[in-house]
Amino acid sequence: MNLLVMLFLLMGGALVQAFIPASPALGQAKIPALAAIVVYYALARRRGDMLWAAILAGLVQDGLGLIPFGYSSFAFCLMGLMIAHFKEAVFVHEMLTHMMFGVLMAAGSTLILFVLLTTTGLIEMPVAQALHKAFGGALLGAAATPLIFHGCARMDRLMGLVETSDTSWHEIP
Amino acid sequence: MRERSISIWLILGTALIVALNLPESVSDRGKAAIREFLAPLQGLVTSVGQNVGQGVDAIRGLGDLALDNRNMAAELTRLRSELRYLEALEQENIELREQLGYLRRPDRELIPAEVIARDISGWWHSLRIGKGLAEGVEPQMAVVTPDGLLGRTMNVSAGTSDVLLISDPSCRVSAYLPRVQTYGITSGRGLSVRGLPMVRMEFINKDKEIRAGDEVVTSGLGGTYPRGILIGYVERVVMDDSGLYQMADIVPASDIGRLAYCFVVAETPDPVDNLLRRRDTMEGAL
Repeated sequence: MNLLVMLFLLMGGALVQAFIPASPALGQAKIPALAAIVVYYALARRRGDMLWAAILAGLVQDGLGLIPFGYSSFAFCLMGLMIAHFKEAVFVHEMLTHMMFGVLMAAGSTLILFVLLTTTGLIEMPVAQALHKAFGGALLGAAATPLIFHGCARMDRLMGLVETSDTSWHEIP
Repeated sequence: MRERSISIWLILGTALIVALNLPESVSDRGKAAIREFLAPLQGLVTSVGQNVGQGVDAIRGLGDLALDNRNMAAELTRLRSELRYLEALEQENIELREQLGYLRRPDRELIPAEVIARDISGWWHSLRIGKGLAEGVEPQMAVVTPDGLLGRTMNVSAGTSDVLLISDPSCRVSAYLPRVQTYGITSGRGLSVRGLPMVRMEFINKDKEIRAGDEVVTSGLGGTYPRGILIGYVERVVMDDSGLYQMADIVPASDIGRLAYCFVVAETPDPVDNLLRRRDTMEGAL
């Protein structure tokens, strides 16, 4: 059930990401819906779930675009592990936390992909343009991650995968 | 516990290294499977979005419908008469080519396709169409709209194809300026802040006098793009930094931003035509 819900969320995220157009003012960055789902799994679920989500989100992103297979998975796993590392030190269910990690995930994964794609000669992009794109992605990440986090948490609650009370959050084993 | 954690890290690391170094054929098959699986959903979401947009446009332009209808009827009449004239010219062209012993150019087949999605990652200027190998689409085929060149096909699966747009920096097209009869190469420059696609033509002979508004068409050299497809119009001309060539900013003829349909050009370039074009190019250069 957990995997099915994850796949459903990733499919929804992929459609949102593909459908909403990129803005040139934000460096052609797309809304980081798939990355935001990985942020949710990194903050709210076990590390194993996060890794599954990062690998699958990467495969979906690469599968639906021109990026070679594995590149996005690598970027999402790296950023997901970094975020999961800090989850004990932050208030996991605060909106500000989601925004902050949304910024980190979007900007970090954009820069990792930039390095991978330029070193393999797949894109020709000046560093300034990549930084503009990372900045645009960070802004979109800050805006989208709290919404997507809320949506994912609601979905998990609906399917009975997590229990919440006012002060705590328990994953159902 | 620590040993288990180390083995998980090792498995994950190995999986990622394998994924990053997958052979192209395996990677393509995997990507094609994901695209085929999600294509119906993408098509559905895009068509809903387009219908909503068209509905809004229809409500906005309700008052202009009668005028639009009259203009379109006039345009249709003009195009019909032009078509009759062009059919006569084509027949004459075929007869003259036969008399000169040239091989006949292969017929261009236009495969209509619906745009089902835009690039999901934002690293390329590309879109996905709902036609693939099953309908005769292959990689490296030109894609056009009724207004002009759109780009070329890249990854093709059974029912979908990715189209690299002419506004992408990695999309290079051998171009020709018919008025001054000179060649160059166009490449994409992304989108302007206002969202307009930008294309630049480089390596233009510095002695040719190019004006704003000049037509730029495909030269047919290189094989991917058939000859004579309109790319766009010259907006401004500047000298290359080296002082050896001119460069021209081009306004693409195709409306890349709001696109619902396009056509894939299925044509195998005629080897004799290619030879003739190369001779033309060399004579032009001398």
